[in-house]
Amino acid sequence: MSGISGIVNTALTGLQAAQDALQITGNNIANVNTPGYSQENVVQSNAIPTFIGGQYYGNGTQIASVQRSYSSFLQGQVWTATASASGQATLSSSLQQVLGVLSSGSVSTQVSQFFSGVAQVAASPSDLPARQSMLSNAQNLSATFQSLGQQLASIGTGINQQIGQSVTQINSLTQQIAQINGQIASTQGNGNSVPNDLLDQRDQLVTQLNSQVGVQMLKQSNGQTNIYLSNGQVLVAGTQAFALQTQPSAYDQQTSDVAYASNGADITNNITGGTLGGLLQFRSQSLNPAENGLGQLADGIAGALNAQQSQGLNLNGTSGTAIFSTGAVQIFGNQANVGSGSIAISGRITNAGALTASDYMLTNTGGGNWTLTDRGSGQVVSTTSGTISGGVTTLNFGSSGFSVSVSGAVSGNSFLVEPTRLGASGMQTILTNPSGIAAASPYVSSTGAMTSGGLVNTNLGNMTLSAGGYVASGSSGGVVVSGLSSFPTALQVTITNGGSGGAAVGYQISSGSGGTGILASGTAVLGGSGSTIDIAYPSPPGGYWQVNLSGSLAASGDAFTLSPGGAGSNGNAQAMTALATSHVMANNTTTFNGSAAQLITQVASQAGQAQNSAQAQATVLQQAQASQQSVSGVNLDQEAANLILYQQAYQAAAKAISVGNTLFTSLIQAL
Amino acid sequence: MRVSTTEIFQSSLTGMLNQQSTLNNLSQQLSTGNALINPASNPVANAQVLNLSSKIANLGSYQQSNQFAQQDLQLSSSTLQSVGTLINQVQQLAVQMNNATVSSSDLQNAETTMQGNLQQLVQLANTQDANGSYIYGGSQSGVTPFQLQGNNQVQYLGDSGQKNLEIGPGLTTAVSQAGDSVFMNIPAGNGSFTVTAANTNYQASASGVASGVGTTTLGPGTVINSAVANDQFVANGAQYQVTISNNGTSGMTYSVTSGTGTAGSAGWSASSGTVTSGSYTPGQDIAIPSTAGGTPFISVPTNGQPGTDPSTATFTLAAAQPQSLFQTFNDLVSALQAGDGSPGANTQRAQGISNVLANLSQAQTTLLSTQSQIGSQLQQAQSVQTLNTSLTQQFQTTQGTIADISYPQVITQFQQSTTALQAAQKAFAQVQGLSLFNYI
Repeated sequence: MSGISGIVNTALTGLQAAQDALQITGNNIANVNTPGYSQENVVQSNAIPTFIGGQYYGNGTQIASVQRSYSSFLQGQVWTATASASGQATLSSSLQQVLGVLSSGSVSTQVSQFFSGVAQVAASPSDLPARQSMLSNAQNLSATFQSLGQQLASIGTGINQQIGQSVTQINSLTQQIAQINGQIASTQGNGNSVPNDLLDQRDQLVTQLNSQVGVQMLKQSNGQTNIYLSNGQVLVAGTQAFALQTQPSAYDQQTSDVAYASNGADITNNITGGTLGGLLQFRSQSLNPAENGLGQLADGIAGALNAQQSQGLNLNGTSGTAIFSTGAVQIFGNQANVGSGSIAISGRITNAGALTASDYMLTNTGGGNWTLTDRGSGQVVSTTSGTISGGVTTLNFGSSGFSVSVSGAVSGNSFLVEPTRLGASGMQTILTNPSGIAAASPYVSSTGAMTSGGLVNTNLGNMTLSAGGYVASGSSGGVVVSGLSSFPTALQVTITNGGSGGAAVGYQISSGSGGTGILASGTAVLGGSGSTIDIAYPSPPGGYWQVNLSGSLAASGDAFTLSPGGAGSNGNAQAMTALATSHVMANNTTTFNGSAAQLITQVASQAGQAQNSAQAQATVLQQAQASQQSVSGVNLDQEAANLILYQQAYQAAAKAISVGNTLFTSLIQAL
Repeated sequence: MRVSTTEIFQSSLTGMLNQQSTLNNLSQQLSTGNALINPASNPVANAQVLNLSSKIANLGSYQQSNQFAQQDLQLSSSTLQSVGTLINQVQQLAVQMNNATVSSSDLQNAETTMQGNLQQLVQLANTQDANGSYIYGGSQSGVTPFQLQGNNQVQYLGDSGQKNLEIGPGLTTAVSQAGDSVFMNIPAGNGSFTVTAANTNYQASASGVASGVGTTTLGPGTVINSAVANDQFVANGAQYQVTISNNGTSGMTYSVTSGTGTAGSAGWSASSGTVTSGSYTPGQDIAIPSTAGGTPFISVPTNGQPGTDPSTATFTLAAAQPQSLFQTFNDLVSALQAGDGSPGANTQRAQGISNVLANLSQAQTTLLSTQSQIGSQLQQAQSVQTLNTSLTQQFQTTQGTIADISYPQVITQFQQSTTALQAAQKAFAQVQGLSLFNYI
């Protein structure tokens, strides 16, 4: 087209293009704060020219397309960084909770205070106020453990809720993505135009989805995208979203796991990244180990003190009973277990010192064999067929510190064993009577014989009977006194023939004086290391009270008395005090306080790591966002410039039309 | 790089938020003085602090036990000092009364004094600590350990239990002494054997006269060969009978026979015959071999000589049984009462007092060794206390180095952060004012 109408028409295309461009600019300005919005640009091209008279005359301009400023690479980086940053932030904030609980609860202070109370009893064993104060300290200690255990457990409950919330959000997001997928597909074929806003919305939804769980995207040919979990399990396929659900774990009904809503397939272990990944990682790698560690410490303290307590005598002269009780060994059967009849299973701590903070899987592998696997590392800890008595199989995992009794289980049944999980939250001080503290040694060795209630020493030789101590197993060659009708029964050791130098002298041990009720007899070589006498405890606790008869000169009739420790005896309290600094935890490698410090340090390191990592990931995310925004973000200055640019273009085009108009007018007036 | 408008807001905001968080952290550190408010910020330092805390707590526990130990030891030490004074008094009294010229009223007064002394000794032995526990009852701290019977005998109801306390890592010290080891199990005589005079030595026959009773006393004697003495007295249960006879004109002789008996039984049979004999000179030492013609293994000093009626004096040498201090006090009472008014009273008293003095000196030895033991334990406790105190201080200093903030450093950081925050705020305000729209 040429001529005056050509001028007007060509100018008109410019006018329209400028108008369109101004609309896009306006749209950019309007969406400056819309999350996920990508700046849009008009792509202008010149219109097809007209060939007249051997010349090409331009026909103005046209809007070729409206493009969004977009880099799929940079957007992908934002997604990945979002998943990591959100996961680490969740992990870090959850760990801070645990750290807050553990470090404010000050387990170590309570442990130290308890043992300081024990030391007071050791110093004044017959003093009731000292005993009362030790019991109060014990109650404080168990209350602290209980409260810390329960706080950790309630964090676990909170985690279940958060997992539920996260899953709800994931479902809503995947649903929306599937919908947008559908809308995008339906716009296919509308020329070469692209539904920029739908794409932006979908990208934004994927960003939100990544903040909940780490996902990967795969573009389809029809413009739809499929969304997968990081290990390839599908969440969105085209227009179909696969909903997730929380369901009770196959073993522990109190724990929420994540599964497909359609078939209940458990995908908990496949989830990484995002809030959900962070929560799951926190639960399995931080919270449960912390609960177990705390329980291990509670079980260790209770085990060691109860054992010591049972070796001594209380103020009433009887063997001490347990001071503490702790939560039971927790065992869950798999929901799928079908045994022969009803399955009964229970566990018991046999050696608190050998306990670890691990959870275990116990599987009946057939042929009466059982395999114990560490749940965390997956390593086989023990394989045993146990001992069967009365239909009950007892599986003793001594090296792991516990035993399990099971009946009715068949091959293929599996169980989750958590020996220490409830240790802390179930800890109680069950000794309530201060006289019940077994401060006294069971036996006190005295020189001389008991005669009408008094100790009378007519010994001529220099033989001595050592104060003695507890031993778990008797010494070889020791004279064993067992089968006492009650423990401790007063005993008398009487030398039956005199001697000196290297001679061997005989002695007998009797429950009565004057050679009645002889329980055992032995010989001691004078001048040597002496002769060991092992007096058997009843079982439990088992073991022996071991004393040593030694000396270099003996007369027939020399006597020694082993009488039950009185109110002033502090032997056992002393042994309890020594537990504070003994390496009794974790297979005799660390003290209670060391173990408490280890627990806190472990959580603190994890929290520190998570904190650093969360910060680092946040920085990565910021950079990714900055890069992405540098391409896709709206810059108002740029838009202002564009406004002026297009406004001027519009004004110029309008002027051209006006010129055309003038030309027309001139022409018409000339007629 | 092109920057989007939102990004300008966002990055400025993030910068300011970070600075605020740093400021908050620093101001917490400044207000508490603790660099480890959040253990996660330095887990290793936190672990060190925890370990040091438990070490300090353990030391505190040791210090507490140490104080109890020192209290117990001091109480025991001062009690035993009183016992020592009492023994000295009794020794003086015994020496005073060991004199032929004392009157019977003197003896009676002394006897009354001794009864008082005995009661005082029982009282001292039944000392209770602040909690009402008997400190010399062994493990039977709730029972009055020393019971004075009607016949002046004292029964010990305690046992040999000793209280130990841990006052340092792996350092256990005894903080009590069992009553029997202090008061009951004191070696009698010279520690190896005792000399017992036969009652007949000092009793004139019905027709006899006071002047006819002799003045022979024996002992306490010394051990020449302790191995043989142990063998003879303890292992074999041998006893020796020394007989000193006044044969009138044919002079004086002594003879020693040995025999064996069951330890602890009163009767013994002197069937082994004479091991040594000879003519007797008052004041001589009699050396006694275990067999006739053998090398002497013990020696006993003599004093005085038998009279005419009875003309012989018999003494039994037997293994020294442990004898309680109460028994020794009581023996002195008996010695003071002995043969009151009878012809041989003075001699009998002299023999009795001689034995008592020997036993008292044994008691002093036992007491002194117990006291020196207590003294060294006290000294040990005190030096451990000093050590533990300085160790505690050292740990606390180390803990401070790790956990306390360095004020200059933190204040500098605080000021830096404040400046940075102010700058960021100012920059934000200025950048936000920059817009092309202002000019169109």
